[in-house]
Amino acid sequence: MTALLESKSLTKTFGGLRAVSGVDFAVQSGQIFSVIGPNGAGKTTVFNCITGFYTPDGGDLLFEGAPIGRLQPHRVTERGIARTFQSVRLFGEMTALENVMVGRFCRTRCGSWRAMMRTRGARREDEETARRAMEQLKFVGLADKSDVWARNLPYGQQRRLEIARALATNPKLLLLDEPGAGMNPQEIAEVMELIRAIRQRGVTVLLIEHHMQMVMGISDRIAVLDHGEKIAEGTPKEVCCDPAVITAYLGEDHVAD
Amino acid sequence: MSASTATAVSRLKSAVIWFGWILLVAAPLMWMRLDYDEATRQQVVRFNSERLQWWLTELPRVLLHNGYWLLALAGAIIGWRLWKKFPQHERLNQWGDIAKRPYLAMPVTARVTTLWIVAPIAVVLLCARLGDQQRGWGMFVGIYILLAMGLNLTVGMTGLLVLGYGAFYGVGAYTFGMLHQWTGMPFWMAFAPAAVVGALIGLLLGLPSIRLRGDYLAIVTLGFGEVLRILLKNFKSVTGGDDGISIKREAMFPKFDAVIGFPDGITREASGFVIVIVLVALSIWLVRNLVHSRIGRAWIAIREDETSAAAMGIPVYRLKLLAFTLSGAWAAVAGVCFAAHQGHIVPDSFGFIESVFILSMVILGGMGTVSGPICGAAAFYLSYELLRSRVPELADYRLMVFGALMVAMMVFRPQGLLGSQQRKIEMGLAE
Repeated sequence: MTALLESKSLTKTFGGLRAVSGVDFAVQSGQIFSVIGPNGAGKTTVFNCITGFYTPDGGDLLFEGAPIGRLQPHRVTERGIARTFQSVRLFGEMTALENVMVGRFCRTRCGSWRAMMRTRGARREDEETARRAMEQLKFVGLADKSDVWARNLPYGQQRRLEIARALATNPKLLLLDEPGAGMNPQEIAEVMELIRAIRQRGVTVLLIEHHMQMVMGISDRIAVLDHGEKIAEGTPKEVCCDPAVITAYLGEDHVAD
Repeated sequence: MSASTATAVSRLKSAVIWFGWILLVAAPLMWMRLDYDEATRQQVVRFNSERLQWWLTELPRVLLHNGYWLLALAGAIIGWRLWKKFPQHERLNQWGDIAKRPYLAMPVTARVTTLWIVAPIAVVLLCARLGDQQRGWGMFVGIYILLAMGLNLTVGMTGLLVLGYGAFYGVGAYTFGMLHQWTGMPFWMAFAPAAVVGALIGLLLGLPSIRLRGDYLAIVTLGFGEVLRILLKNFKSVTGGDDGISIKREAMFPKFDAVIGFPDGITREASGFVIVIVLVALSIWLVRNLVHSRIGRAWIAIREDETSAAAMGIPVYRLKLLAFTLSGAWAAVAGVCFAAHQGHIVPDSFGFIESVFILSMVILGGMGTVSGPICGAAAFYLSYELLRSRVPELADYRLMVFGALMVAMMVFRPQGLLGSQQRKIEMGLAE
């Protein structure tokens, strides 16, 4: 069985700095796969390589067996990979609903002529877009906020809206970059619930997260990066006992303890 | 004292301070005069007390004498207040209902219906009652509305700062001018070819320059505007250089004038006015549709956050090109109207100052809305013309007055006259 996403000795350098060097991992369909590591370990760089914002300098990225390393970001999204950002990046002066509707862009076809004339087809497509966007809003629990400017939503809801927007692109693989950052335990629990629900819908999740309780609680498999290299991979249990991981996080002295 | 009164007072205070400051800066200019000194045979700057006296005594008189303009302004303000009193749609959160709105996030209200009834009547009344001078102004208001709406596609919707928009305007005018010169084409036939040429030039300029962002793009488009103007000046064999191109007036409105009866006979201004009104109406319809489609949403997404838009599957480069292309076509159509109306075109009509005017209109009215540029264009052009014809003594100071106006806008309402208020109304969140 081929993996949904496969990274083969992925490498990315910035000048002399090897941000990611020779990283291998494979995400199976239906998994929740987490990438963890100390700050500056290269996690977000891996994300940016997968989503086309960076072009890898070496190695292969295969999505459903096809290479995606050299695709532009919007092509990657068309293939079925959606992402959220470490710091929330919504379209501030659009309503929550419109934000999610933007996510439908790559799944709709109406061109500029038909849009200008607002033909029957264009209108139907727009209604369909609104309907589906509203479904996503309901799914993340923001149905009653549809007419509010994204900028005016509280932080936790902005995070949820970003996930709804990413889901609107009909992804097979959803990349979440620290979805729990800056949240209180109550909100963390809600996000974990949401991620499980996303998996229930058949979307594979690739997760970057610092919050250990969250990672250990929901991940099927975890890869640990440090200084751009993968130092461990396995189930949550295997990873948290791995001496290399403890060294990376806490320093040499703690391994014996 | 309630909070709102307090804000009003503090606003008034800052307005007074600001006005005094402008007076202080501008006062010397207002009574300076350039004179020729016979004795020394040199130009000298004199401070003319008569001039100062005029500012202090005559200007208020002139303004009062033209009191009906003040009345019109008061009427407009009262009208706007009443307009806002119309019932707004109820907030609809069920997805079924949202999908049924004609434009998403655009309320269906008594307001819109009223507009559809009032607007045609107003147009007919205007056509019948206005004199030729006013129709000429109306024509120019229409032309500037087209230009402002076109520029708004790039500057307001997509967030690309274009400083050389006057060049696209010139492209339209010259396309018609040359076609007319070579083939005698009447002006109503020139809209399609001019729009195509304008779009093509927009595409060609966009292909290399859209990779640039922000200020850099602004500089490139600024340069393009100047290059085109100088090219028109020097390519004498085709464009006639500084002499420009003359358009035969009798060839402009074949048979068309006879169809529409006007009480004071059929004039160039009258038929031109009608054609421009039709074009503006068409333009409003097209732009509104566009803005509320997936294309418009993608543009606004790019304006708000380009990286995030790309991650959502939007081909950023292609959509920016589309905005450039369409706005080129819009300007070209306006250019055809201008050429037909003027009867003569010269390169200097499409210079930098024209680009700045159009940009000012967009900013004045409010970037990124449909109604903003319309309002901005009308307010800007009408006050500019009125200043010239009603208060001829102020004609020389027009640019200064508008400079001050723009500064005031940036200080007090950076979102434009209709900016976020309009947006709020569209969202049904106002008040």
